[in-house]
Amino acid sequence: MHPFLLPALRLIYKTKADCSALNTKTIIFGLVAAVAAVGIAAIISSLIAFEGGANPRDPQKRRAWFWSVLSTALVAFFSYHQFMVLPKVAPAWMGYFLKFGMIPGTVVLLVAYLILGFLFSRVLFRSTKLSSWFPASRR
Amino acid sequence: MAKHFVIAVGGTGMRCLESLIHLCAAGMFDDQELHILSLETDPQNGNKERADRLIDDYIALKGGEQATPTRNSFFTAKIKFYSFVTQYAKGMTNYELIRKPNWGNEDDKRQNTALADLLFDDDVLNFDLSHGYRAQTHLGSLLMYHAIVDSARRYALGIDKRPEDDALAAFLREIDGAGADVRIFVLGSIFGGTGASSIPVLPRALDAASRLVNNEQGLRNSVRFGCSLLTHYFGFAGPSDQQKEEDKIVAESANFAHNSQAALSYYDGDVTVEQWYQGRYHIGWPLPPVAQPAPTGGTVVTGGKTQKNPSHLAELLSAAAAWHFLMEPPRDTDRVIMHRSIPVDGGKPDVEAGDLVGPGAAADRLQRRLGMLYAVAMHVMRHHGSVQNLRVNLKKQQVLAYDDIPEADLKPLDSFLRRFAFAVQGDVLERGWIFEVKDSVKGFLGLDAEAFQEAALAKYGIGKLFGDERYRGSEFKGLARHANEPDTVIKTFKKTEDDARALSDAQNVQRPLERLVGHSFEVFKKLYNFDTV
Repeated sequence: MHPFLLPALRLIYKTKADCSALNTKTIIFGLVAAVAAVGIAAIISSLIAFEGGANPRDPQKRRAWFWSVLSTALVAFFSYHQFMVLPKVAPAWMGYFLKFGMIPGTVVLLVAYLILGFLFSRVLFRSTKLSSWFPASRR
Repeated sequence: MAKHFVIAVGGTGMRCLESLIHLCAAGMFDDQELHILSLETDPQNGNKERADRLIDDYIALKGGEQATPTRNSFFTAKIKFYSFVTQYAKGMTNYELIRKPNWGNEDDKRQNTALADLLFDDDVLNFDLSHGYRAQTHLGSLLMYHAIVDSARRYALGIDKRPEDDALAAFLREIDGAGADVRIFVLGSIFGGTGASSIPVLPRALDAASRLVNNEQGLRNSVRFGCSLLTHYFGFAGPSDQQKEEDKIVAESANFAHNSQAALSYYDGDVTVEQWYQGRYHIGWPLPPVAQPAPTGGTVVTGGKTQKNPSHLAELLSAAAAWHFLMEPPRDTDRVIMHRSIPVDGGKPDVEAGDLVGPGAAADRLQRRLGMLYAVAMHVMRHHGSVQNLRVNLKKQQVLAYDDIPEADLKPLDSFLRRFAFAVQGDVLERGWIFEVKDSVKGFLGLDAEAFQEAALAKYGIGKLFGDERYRGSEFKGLARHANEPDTVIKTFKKTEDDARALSDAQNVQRPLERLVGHSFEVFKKLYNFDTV
C-alpha cells in the first residue's frame, strides 16, 4: 500500500526493509505520476484550438502547458514525499529514503514525462496538437 | 495527356478566357495541356491585361516551362500562353494610311486605293485602329486575316520579325505537332469588333499562316474548330455628341443587337464558318443587357486600360462551351443540335452546374471543385490573410512538408486566389471573379447565396457552402462556425498529411507548391464528405 493512503504523522518505516519497499513504490509512483501528468498535458493541449491569423500563439500555449504540467508534477511529487511521507520514515532511514526513493522517483517522473512527451509528440501522435510540444525543424 | 488549343479574340474573348482559366484552376481539365493564343488589336486593353496577369499567375504557380499536367487537384491543366497583338502604329494608325501600299507600281497603288474607297466610308478609313475595330467587322476581318498571314510571312522570311511572330509560329507548330485529334476552340463575341471580325476568317488565316510556318503544311483535315457565338449581353451609355463628332466611329451598345443579328445571318451562309467550325455554341442573354459603369464625362471607352469590365455568366457559359468541345469524346454522328435554357428567378438566371457542363458526373465535378476552391480561398483570406501566412502557420503546427516552397512560388498562388475570390484590404473587400459572376445570377451552382454576401462574409461558416446535407462531413460542426474553422481545417491538414504524401503520385504532383495545393484539395474533399470530386 502506498503511503498516500496511510494516516499521517505515524512512523511506519522503521527498518531498512520497510524503506527499501518504500523506495521501490516511490519510483513506481514516479512512473505512474509521469503517465498521469502526460495525460493531463495531452488533454489540456488538445483543448487549445488551432489558430489562424498572421501570428498564431496556440503552439506556444501548448508548449507552455506541457512544461507547466511537468513543473507542477515535480513540485507536487517532491512536496508530497517531503511533507507527507518523509515524516513517517524513521530518522535513521531518512537519508536512505531521500537518496534511493525520493530523488530517483522524482528523476523517474522527470525522465519518463520527457520520454513519453517526446514519443507522443514526435512519433505516436505527431498528426495531432501534441506535435507542438517538441517541434521538429524538418520531417 | 491531350493537347488542346484555345484562341481568345477581342475584349470579350479575354473575359471568356478569364473564366476558362478559373475552370482550369478549379481542376476541370485534369491531365490536359492547353495552348492558348490571345488575339488582340488593343495592346492596352484592360480586359486583356486582366486576363494576361491571371494567366501569368497560373503559369508561374504551375512552375512555368517545367509545369506538368496533374489530376484530382486544383490547377491541374498545364497552360502554354501565346500572345498576338496586331500593331497599328508608325504610319498604320488607320486604314487610310494602310490602303496605299508602299510596294508595287503606281497602277497597283491606285487600284488598292480605289478598292478601299469603294468598300469603306471615309469615317471607317480614318478611325484610330489602336483601340480595335470598333464594331466595323468588314474592315476587321480583312485586317485580322492579313495581320496573321503577314506575321507568319515575317517569321518565315526572317525579315523585320517581331515577338508576336514567334508566338504565332510556336502556336502553329504545336498544332502541327499535336496528335490526331486536334481541337481548336475560339472564344469571342459576335456583337463587337475584333471577335466578330476574326471568327469567320481565323481558320483560313491559320491555315494560310501554317503553310508559311510549317513548310507548306496547312492545317490538317482532322483539325476540328469550335467557337462560342456570344451575342450581346452588356450595354453602356452612348457617346456624347462631342465624342461622336471627334471620333466619328464609336461602338454603340444600342447597335449590339443588330450587330449580333447581322453576324449570325452572315455566318449562316458563310462557307468558311460552315466548312471549318464543327462545334458552334450559340450563347445568348435574353434578359436586359447588364449596364456597365457610365462613361466619365459622357466619353465612351473604346478601349485602352480603362476598358476593364466585371465578369459575367455569359462568359462562364462560353468557357464551359470550350470545356465541352475540348473534352467531349469523339462523336460518331455527323451533326447534333443540343440546347439548354436556364430558368430565370427574379430577373436573374438561377444557374446550376448542369446548365454549364451537362448533367451527371461533369456537373458534380464542376460544382464540387469550384465550390471547394472558393472554400479554400475563403479560408486562406479570412483566417490566414495570405497563402504565405498559411504556409507559415502550417509549419508552426508541424505540417513541415511545405517548408521548402520558395516565397516566389507562393506569391502567384496568393495573387490568383485573390483574383478568383476576393481580397481584403483593410476594411475594403476587393471582389474577385466568382463574386462578379455571382452578381449576374440569382443562384450559382447550388452554392449558398450567403457565401457571396459581403456583409455576411466575415462571420460565414464555410460548412454551409454546399447546401445538401450529404456534403456535411463529420467535421461539419467545426466548419459551420466561423470561429472554429481554423481548428477544424488545420486539424484535418495534420490528419491527412501522410495520406496526401501517398496521393502525390496519384495526383501526379511533384513540386512542393503543387503538393500543398493537392493536399488542400484532399482536406476540403474530406471536410465536405465528397466521395468523388
